[in-house]
Amino acid sequence: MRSAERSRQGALRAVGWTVFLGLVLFPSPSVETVVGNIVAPVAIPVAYVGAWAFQWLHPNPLISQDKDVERLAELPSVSLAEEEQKTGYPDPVSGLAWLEVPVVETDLERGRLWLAAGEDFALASGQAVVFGNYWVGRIGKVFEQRAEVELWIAPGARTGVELLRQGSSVSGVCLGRGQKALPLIRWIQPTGHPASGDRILWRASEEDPPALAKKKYLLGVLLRGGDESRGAGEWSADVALPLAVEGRVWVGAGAIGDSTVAEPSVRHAKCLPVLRGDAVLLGPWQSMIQEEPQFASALIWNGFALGAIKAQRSRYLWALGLTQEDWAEQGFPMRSSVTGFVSSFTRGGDGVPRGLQLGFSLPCSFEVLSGSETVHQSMEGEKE
Amino acid sequence: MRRDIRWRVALPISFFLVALQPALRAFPAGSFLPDFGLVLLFVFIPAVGSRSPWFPPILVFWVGAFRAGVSAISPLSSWAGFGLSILLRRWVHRQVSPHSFFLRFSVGVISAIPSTSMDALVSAQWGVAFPMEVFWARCLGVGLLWAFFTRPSSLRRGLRS
Repeated sequence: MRSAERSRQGALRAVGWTVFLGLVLFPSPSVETVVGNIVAPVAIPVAYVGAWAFQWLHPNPLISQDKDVERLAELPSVSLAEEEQKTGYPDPVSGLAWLEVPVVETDLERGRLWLAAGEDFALASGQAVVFGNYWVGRIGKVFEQRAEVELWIAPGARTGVELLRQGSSVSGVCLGRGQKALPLIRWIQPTGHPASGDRILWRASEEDPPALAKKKYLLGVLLRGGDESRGAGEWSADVALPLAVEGRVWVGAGAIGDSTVAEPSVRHAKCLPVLRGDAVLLGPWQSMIQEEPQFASALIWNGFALGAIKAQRSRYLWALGLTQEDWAEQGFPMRSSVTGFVSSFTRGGDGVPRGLQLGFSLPCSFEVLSGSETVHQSMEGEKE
Repeated sequence: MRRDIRWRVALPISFFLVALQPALRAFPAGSFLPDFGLVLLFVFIPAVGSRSPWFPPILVFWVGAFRAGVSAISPLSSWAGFGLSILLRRWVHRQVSPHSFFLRFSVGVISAIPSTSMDALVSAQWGVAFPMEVFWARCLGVGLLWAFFTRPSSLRRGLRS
């Protein structure tokens, strides 16, 4: 009997540890949230006592918080959205309205962008998508609050093109092959004589409005590749797709709703810093407590992103402050047309919204950027 | 009654020592200190002869919850790491003699590996550096404490459960 009881307990323990290990190796956000909410009433008092002990043992912090605040205050504040709007807003087309839609997820490998609006914003399949004078693609699948853009470089995507050189043009079809391979230009008009360096412009289809068909949108520059000696030469396109299309695009629509800008709602919430530094992990960690428990994605101060929220236990948050090097892959620089300064911005993804101007240290007081679950979930799977 | 005394000692000490950990880590070379939660569990949970089967898992739960206040690491990860370390310690301890300092030290080092590995794994998932020298220093620290403070006589008395 005793042996049976031991076996039963041993089996239970084995199952328990297997489950724990599975959850550690493959973290589940919903389980983490539940567990976080359970331990928060215990964790928060420990954090306060830890902060008190920290203050007692380190009355003079090694890094001057005032200096950080002064340094950040000197940085010019730039809005990425405004910069993108300046460069990306297309020329007006009669009978057509340009709907400005932020991008929440990119999958350049598959040639897809996911937009922060859908049927609720009068988006429909087949609509033209542009950025300034650049052709981006067409709206594909449309959902209630999301829509997919099929980029012209997407594998298998066919786009009618005109090859333009000093006034003369010849038509052809561009065949997308994804991000890693250059798109091919096929079925070029037999009477034409294309040459490397010709500009590749978008050519309207029969379904496009006549006013839009008169516009010229750039796809790239024509290149001659392949092995000519074997008769395997082929025309391809040197892609001209601005990096800013990862941020927002403009969709041509004949019918529009109340607004022409579909900016996702983002909220700010103040929080109280508690602990600076993690008891186990290395790096510039900061813990803080919100007034109300709500989803948080990024730590910002005075408009500058300082780090990403990595763990949330009810009102208790843990943020990892990121250095300039850390942001190198997640952020990108842009020169402001107003101030002339080069500022760095978040590219978006991993829960952090796009377009936050980057700061690189942790000052003494700050707030967290919180958004709706919809925005979080849509950002979560973003691939850079 | 005896159970009450046990909890009255273990929980407050764990609470304050775990809370003290971030302040000690902030000192120079503080990152090389062994994990306080693991050391406390090794002290309070006997390697062999645990009378109550519920005392070790419940104490692991509490120490993991305390740790969630001072570290971004998920409590699940802490619980899994602590639990595996305690199981491994029990198994290794049965294989070797506790009368040799070196063998006790080895038991401590080997037992600390699962918990420290969990911490390193979480670091890797978040893209935070966890150098090998820190990893081994923490394991060796646990080994030294285990070797010094758990002599054969102390294994059979004190805070037994």
